[in-house]
Amino acid sequence: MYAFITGPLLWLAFTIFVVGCIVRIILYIKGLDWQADRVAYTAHLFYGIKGAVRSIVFWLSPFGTRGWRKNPGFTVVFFVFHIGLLFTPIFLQAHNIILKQRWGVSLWTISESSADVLTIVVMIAAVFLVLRRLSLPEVRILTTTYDFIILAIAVAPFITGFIAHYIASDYKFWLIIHIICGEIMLIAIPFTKLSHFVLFFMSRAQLGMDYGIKRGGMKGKGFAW
Amino acid sequence: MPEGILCNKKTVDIKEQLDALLADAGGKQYYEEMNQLDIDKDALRATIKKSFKSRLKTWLEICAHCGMCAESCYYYLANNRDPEQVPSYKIHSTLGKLIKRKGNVDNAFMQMCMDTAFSKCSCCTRCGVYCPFGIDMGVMFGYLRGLLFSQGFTPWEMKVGSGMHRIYKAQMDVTTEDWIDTCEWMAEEWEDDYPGLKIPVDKKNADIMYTLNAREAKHYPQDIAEAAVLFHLAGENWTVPSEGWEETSLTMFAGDWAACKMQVENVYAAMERLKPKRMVGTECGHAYRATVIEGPYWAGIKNGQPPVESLHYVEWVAEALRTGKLKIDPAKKIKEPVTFQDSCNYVRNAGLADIPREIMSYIAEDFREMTPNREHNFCCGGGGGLNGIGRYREARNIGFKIKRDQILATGAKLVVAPCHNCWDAIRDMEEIYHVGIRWSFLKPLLIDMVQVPDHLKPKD
Amino acid sequence: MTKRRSMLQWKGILIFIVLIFASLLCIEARETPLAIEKRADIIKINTLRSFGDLERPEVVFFHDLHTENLKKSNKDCKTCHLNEKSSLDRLSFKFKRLKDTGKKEVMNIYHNECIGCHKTTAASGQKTGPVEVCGECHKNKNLVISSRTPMGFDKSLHYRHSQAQQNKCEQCHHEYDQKNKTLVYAKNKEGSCRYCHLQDKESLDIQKPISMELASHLSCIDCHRKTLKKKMDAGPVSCQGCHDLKQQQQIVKVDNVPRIKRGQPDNVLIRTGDKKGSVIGMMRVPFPHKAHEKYNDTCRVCHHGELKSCANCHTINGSKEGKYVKLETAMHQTGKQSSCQGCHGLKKQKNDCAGCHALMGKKRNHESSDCIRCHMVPLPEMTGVLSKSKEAKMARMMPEIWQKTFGISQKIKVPEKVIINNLADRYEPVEFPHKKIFNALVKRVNGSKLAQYFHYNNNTLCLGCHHNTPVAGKPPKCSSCHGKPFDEQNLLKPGILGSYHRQCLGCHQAMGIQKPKDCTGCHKNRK
Repeated sequence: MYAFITGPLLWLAFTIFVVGCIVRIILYIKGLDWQADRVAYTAHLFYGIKGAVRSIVFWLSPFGTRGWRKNPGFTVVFFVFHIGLLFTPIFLQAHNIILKQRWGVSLWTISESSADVLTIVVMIAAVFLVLRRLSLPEVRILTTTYDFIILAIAVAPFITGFIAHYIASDYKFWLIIHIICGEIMLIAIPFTKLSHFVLFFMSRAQLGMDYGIKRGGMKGKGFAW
Repeated sequence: MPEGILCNKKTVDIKEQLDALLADAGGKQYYEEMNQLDIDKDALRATIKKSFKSRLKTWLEICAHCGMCAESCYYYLANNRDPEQVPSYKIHSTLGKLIKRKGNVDNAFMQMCMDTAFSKCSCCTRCGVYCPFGIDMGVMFGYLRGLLFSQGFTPWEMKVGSGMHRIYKAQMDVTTEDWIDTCEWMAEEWEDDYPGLKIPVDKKNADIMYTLNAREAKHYPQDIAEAAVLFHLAGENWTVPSEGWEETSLTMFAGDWAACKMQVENVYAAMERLKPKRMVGTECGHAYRATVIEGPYWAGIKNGQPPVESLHYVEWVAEALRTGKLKIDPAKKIKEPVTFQDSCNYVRNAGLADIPREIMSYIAEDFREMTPNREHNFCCGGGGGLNGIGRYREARNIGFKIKRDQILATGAKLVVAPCHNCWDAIRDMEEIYHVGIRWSFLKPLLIDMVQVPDHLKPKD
Repeated sequence: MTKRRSMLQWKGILIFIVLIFASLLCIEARETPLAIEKRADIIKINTLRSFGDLERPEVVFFHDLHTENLKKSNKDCKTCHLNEKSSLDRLSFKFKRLKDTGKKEVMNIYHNECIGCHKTTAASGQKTGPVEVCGECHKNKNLVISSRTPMGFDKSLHYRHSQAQQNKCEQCHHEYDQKNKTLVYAKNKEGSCRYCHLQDKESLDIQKPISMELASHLSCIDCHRKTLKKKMDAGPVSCQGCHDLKQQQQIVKVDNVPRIKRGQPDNVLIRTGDKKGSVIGMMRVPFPHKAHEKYNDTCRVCHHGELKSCANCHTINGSKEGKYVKLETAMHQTGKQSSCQGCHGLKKQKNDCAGCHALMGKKRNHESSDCIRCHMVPLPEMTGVLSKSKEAKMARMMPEIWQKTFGISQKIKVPEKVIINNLADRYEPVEFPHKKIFNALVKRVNGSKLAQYFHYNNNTLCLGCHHNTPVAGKPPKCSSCHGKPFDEQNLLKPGILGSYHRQCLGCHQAMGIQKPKDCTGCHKNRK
């Protein structure tokens, strides 16, 4: 069972993930229309790229924009959640040791205690996000069950990984569940809202180009996010 | 009943149609007919297929339902944080649903969309600035308005406005003759105070070609005179075109894209004809936006720029003050507390935030910024055509509260609002709430404080 | 699909996911039955502890499991252990390395080598250890416990080794040359390994000399390995060969091990005072060293620190080498096997002796004629000068004086049966088989040389039960001191009922005698 889910199934999951993401990026870019969107993308590429980069960088920085600064609590939870979500699986020792064993390469790794902290913090942040969805009326009216499912898919690998490592008596069983949860997440990314993994950058770049070319970017200053 | 006499999917292209529409006071019959209007689902689907592309599609798809757009929207804030005013909710319950149902919607739904698109959103695009994904709901509502218009679901005043532009190439029924007459009349009236004042029409290769808002021609001709005087005092080599003089675009508010194209092409034709060095528009936000920012795309110009470098009026004023073409008499500077209304259409959506500050530094001694300000300022409450639409007056008046409180918080007595919509909105706001403030365009203020060069003073 | 149905579908999916998760957790919370395995070859791999706290649980490694399986493919110790780069020509204890260089390097060695080998083995279709799953080596819960029995080297085993090495002591015995940092042989200074290798196991402080564990594995196993390679008989190289209890018990024990030749004396006079040996406090003690060699399995029992005379370190007044333990304490300390009286006291704990001795006080009786059993006055024939003094003469005569004064009859008539009927109300009187018991005790005394030495006279056996009174032909009855009920003036002295039961049953218990099974075993029920 382990060999299957870390062999063919893993290949399948990653292929779907990578190909899916690339397809989404390509389809997005293909679907841009300078005239329909009313943004002269290619005519002023320099300003467009400048605007795109600014748009992405400011919004990727904690408290980098007025939007983030206006919601400090949510911003902290948001960034902690995402940084934990992304950093932990990529720089986890266990994952990198497997990578080293299989392919001889390894990224930098973080200590186990750092990984534990990040994992716990991701889970706590997820709880906060759920509570936020249920308690704030402006978020509640937008929330659907789908939102909870997406959050569950994203956090499941962390919960199951943590259980397997520290809590479970049947390590192998929970490890397999953990791997399957991870694969579900990978496969879900191109097909669900988790596609914001790549589409965040696309959408932000697009709006950045819009502001960079059309809405004042060519008048010298970039938009004051 | 598929098509009404007044309310239908057809565009208003001939005068008789327009007159019939105008005769229906307040759109009473129009709205009654709207209740019976069918939806041409095939056409709707076809339009969506052609125009709904990855930008809009992705925006609707990746909305994470985070609710950060809520506080950015002045309707949400003015309506006591009513969750149904959350921009994401508004767009998803209208355009989102429309797309999900693939155009398979009924009359009630379309009317609900129209109500939302026109009374719950003034397309100020402030929400797009506060969304982590950069989802611009203002742009989406603009798109929705287009879909609604194509199906005949547009407010009466918008249908009228669209007709005006199609027929008169201006937002009001001002013919070319009316226009030229008005120019001559104003020049005559003001010549005594400003000898040598002229309003040159159709002068080729001038430095500046001036375009304006038809309301000025129809209702506030003194504005034209003031503009002429200021150009005259600044010693500008300027002109106005006989055709293509009207810069505004109610068609943009209505979502009549075809007419938007026609409108701006008219202005560009004038530019081609007269070949000015630059075009300067009047103090009108959406006119600048429509003609200079969005217009090139409707006209199919690939680099997204009008044929001639085009300025909003504030840009010209700043330049004139900066270069000394216009000199302010220090004794006549504005002494009382004064604040500035950042119009969405040329500040947030065109990046001219610094220019007004520069102007204020020349003309005001106690300038107070609103909070928030510049690109993050709130809409006046009357944008997107809302000022004119009777059906949604109540909703608009509630929206005014935010701007009212902003102005009061500055402690200013005067609001400078170089934008017709903002000017109207603040006037209406004062009429309803009686907070005791005054508001003004730039031109009358400048006329009062600018130094007249000796050689232009009346000789007596 | 209508909107309502799709909403229900999403809700259904979510509920399903939650239910699955909840049931998984419930399965988790169940008590899993513990299947405990016992192994003697457990090694806990926790090398990285020297670099800081462990990030994962230590790996429980079964050494014999690996060596057995490697043997099947004709692979030997060198598969995992490298040659030490020293003059000693032996394999390093460490896995695939000679030094612990750094945290990452050591971790990588373990991962690459262990997993690499497992992979190759798996590829050839054999059952093998974990390949990738971290938690299969770094287990949170270890269900295998160690059954490792410590291994000892007694004189029988030593004899077998010295025979095999043709009495070449230098093969094993060495000293450490600090200057040249090598091991050198020092003749006539051979001793137990443990004299220098004091630590049991390696700890985080790198100590020299190395621990007993490391030393014994490096020397013993390496030698065995080399010997086996020469196709000769040798000791075990597997963990269980030494540390499994059953296999330990199968180690051949030589009866009548010939005496180790280390230049040790046959008899020793332990001086108690000045050089002349004459009285400061006590007479000196003649000690039959040769006889005592027979009574112990190792020299270390008594020579616990060095193979020298006790007085070398434990001087009369105490010295630093002896940790300030005086000679008197060293010889008399109760409870310690290395002390004379201590060892004798421990022997009194045997079943045969415990019947009486368990009930007696454990403390030393400082005023007792027993002292002269060791601190003896030498017989005139044996020494010259020493026995001539008047005091010595008196001391010599003490036993006779004692005997005459108190008239201890050498011939005591032990009654056949004694009827105890003080408490005949619930039960019938007890028929106490006095002679039978006395004879049994005599038999047991005769079975031990130590017992015979101290119980030189059978009369001494009476004192086991008839205590707090001189030996006599008719000793007082128990009830003459132990009244019924107890004496409130003397709460430590039990009443008659308590006395009988504590004395009788206490003796039976200490000696491990199963009878009587119940009350009627001693006294029948009164009808």
